[in-house]
Amino acid sequence: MSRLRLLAVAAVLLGGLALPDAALACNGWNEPSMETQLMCIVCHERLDQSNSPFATQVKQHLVQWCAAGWTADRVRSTLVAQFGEQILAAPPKHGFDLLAWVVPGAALALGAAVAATLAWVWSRSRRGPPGGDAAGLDPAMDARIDADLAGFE
Amino acid sequence: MLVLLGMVGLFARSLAQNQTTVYALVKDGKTPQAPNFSLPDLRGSGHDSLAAYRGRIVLLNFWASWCDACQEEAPLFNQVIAQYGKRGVTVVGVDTGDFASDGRAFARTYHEHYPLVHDSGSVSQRWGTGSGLPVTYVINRQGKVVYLFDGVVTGNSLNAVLRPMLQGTA
Repeated sequence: MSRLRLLAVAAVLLGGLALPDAALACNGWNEPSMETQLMCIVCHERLDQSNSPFATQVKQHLVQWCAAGWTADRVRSTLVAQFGEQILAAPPKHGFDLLAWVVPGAALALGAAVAATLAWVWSRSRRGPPGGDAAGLDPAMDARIDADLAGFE
Repeated sequence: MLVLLGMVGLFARSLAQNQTTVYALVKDGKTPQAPNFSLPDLRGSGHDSLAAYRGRIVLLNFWASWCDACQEEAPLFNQVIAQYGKRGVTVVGVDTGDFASDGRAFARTYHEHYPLVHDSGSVSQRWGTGSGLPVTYVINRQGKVVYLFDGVVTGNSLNAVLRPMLQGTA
């Protein structure tokens, strides 16, 4: 086999490997990824996990829009205009729905802050009064201890 | 404080969204007043509201182009209009969970000769569609929902509901 023919075979093989990605690549998005971001509003499953007639219809439209060079934003806004925001698998990050993103993180941060504060207060209460044990002794007792200790030396 | 307010807001919102559907009420033997709606005409000329048909018997049919069973019903509803239209029966088709373009193509294919509107989900959520499409509600002349067909409507079952209403015995 000539070198040229070998190169041609290699090119075809490489092309074949690259084909699935190329075929799925749309205008900055691809169908499998877009399907994970959408819901079947009839069966309430994610679009990529559903074979309902509704999901099948949406998937057919995704193929057409991909071929027509639509952007991901245009695809999403068209679907939201047709079916409302329930078509989106994740709530939008604006308006009231922003709370769905902010509240869990804020609740976690608040919980961590409360736990840290309680731990700090608890550790302070165990440490005893400032100045160490000697500061709490009667001066007379302190002098007696010193005298006793001197007797041992 | 912000977190607490947010959680209260989310809770209130979920309560508001979970109001009882017409479907649940009718299944429970009740005859609720039909909630009004105003939706864009599927054929693209303005809006159509349910209140406009007050005084008539309305068959409110929820359907979609991807629903195979809905294809069977279209000729029956055309027949209903031909047979009972002059006696005050109207069919209103609500295309829901569907692309308006697909709904229009479906309407052309099956020659639906009655008012058709397109719903992006809010109306079908308020009314309820049970386990799936099609669902058809029967609304009397006083605007009360008196019956629902959960699935394909057949001529006999529809006649059994419509005749007493037309004779004024129901």
